[in-house]
Formats: sequence, C-alpha cells, structure tokens
Amino acid sequence: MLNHLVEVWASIYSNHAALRTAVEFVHVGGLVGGGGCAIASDRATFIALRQPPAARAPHLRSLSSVHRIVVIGLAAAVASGVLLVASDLDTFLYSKIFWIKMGLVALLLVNGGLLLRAEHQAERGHDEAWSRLAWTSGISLALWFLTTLAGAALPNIG
Amino acid sequence: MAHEHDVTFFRCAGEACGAEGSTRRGFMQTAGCFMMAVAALGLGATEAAALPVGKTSGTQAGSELRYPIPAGDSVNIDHEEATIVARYQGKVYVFNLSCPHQNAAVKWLPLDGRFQCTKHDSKYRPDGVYMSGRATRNMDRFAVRRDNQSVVANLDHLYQSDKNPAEWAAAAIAV
Repeated sequence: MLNHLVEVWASIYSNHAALRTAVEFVHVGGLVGGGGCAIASDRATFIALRQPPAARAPHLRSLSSVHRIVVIGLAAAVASGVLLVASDLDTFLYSKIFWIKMGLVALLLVNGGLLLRAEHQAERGHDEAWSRLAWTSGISLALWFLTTLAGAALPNIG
Repeated sequence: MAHEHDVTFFRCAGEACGAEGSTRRGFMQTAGCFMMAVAALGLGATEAAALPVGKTSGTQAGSELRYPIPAGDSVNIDHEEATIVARYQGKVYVFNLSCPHQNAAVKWLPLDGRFQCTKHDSKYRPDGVYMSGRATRNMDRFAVRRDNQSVVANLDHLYQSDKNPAEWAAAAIAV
C-alpha cells in the first residue's frame, strides 16, 4: 500500500511542473526563512556577547521571538523534504550525500535544543550559560551552511 | 480515463470539500477527497503500468560487468555500479544511470513506464530513446554481449547515440 502510494506520488510529481515548483519552493523557502532567521540571531548572539551582561537582555527577548519562525521554516522544509524523497525514494535511499544531510539535520535539531536550554538558563541569570549560547550559536551557524551545502550537492553527487 | 479522474476530483471538491473548508471537519473532508483522488489516479495509472523496477548487482571482471538476464520485462538498477539493466520487448540493454544532459541520476517511473532525469526532467522510453526535455540525445548504452544466461556489459565502451549511432543501436542482446 505504502509502496503504491509512493509510486503514485512519484508519477504525479514527475508529471506536473507546477507541483514540483511548489514543493521545491516550500523546501527552499523554509530553509531561507528558518535558516535565515537562525543565522541572523546567531550573529546577534555574538554581537550581544561583546556587551556587558546587563545589556544583553534585549537580545534574549529577540532570540525567543525567532524560535517560532525557525521551527515553522524547519517544519516546512521537513514536510516538503519528505515529499521530495518520496518522489524518488530509490535514488535518495542509496545516496550517501542524502544520509549526510539527514545527519546534519538531526544535529541541527539537537543543537537547537541545547541552544534553547542555554537561552533559558541565561534568562534565569546564569552568566555561564552565555558561553554555551555562544558555542551552540557557532555550531548552528556552521550546521545551517553545511546542510545547505549537502542539499546543493545532492542532485550532483551520489 | 483522465477525464473520469478529473470529474471525480472536482465533484468531490465542489460538493463536500468546499462547503466546510474552514472547519476541521471540512479540512478532513478535503484531505479525504484528496487521498481518494490520489488513489483513483493511482488505480488508473496501474492499468497502464509497464515494467516493474528492481535492484540488481553485477559481477565485475576487469572492465566487464556480468548480470543475470532478467526473467521478464523489467528495469533493474545497480546503484553500486551506476548502471541500469532493462529488458524490454525482447531485448536487454545496459544503460548508464546518469542522464546524458548533466549527469544527474535518472529514475524509473513504474506507473508511467519511462525513465526521467531527477534534475531537469528529461524523459526516456524503456529502451533509452529520448522523448522530451533538456537532454539532446538518448540514454547512453554500454556495449553488451550474451554469455549463457548472463548479459555482459563492457564498461570501456559506453555509446552515445549522437556520436556512435550504429554502435548505440547495436548495444542490446535479443532474448
């Protein structure tokens, strides 16, 4: 049944250019929206770290307002990603780059959780949390770009 | 057949799905109708199903790759060696898995009975003949010979239909 649904989806996807455009737009749009906001707030964290601790509170407020956008962007990218994978399951399942990308996405989610925890600790006034916030922001920055690189390599390298 | 599907889908969208589109019930109806339409499309396409797709693996000896001859018409993909072994209308072919346009992988669409490039959607028949898209030639074929119940592909001889038309046309074994 699942196999048949995948074949039906692959056929529909392959025969409708507008549908392919829409799915790919949601995937890239999710990355641009979610990843873009995440990268901007990671950068803002580094800028905030140069400020005295008392002046960092506005950054924490702006950081917490960004999470929803990042989560929505990621959800859009993941949902459309599932559709993209289902459109060509055989190719993706055998692609090393695909599994590297999935690993990077998993790391991104784990790192996001750690970043959130450090942010909450910083909100409660734990100064040492800022160091963890800086680390996780740096890792987040690297992971967003690496995930994008893996996505760009996916159609070109097995 | 396509008209029947369209009618089913639009009737569903108009009478049931559209009425309560903004409520949860409406959403569930819309989703249900969509799934039914997808299933209907699938059932219709199954009638036209061509070749089943499977996986295969070759035995390499020097520059030669040996595959068992597929028992019936089918498409068999060797991801390790990036080749496709296809049996179609009494002939067996061994193709390069890459599209001749920009070397992206081609995929097999069982319900459509054709190959399609994953990058720019060039379409090819099961025997590798170009149908449409950005590619400018047929899928590349390896030189093949029959050895008992095996088809042996020579990896040193990959023929392009525009540069080696005669060799390309001959790159098949009759079964």
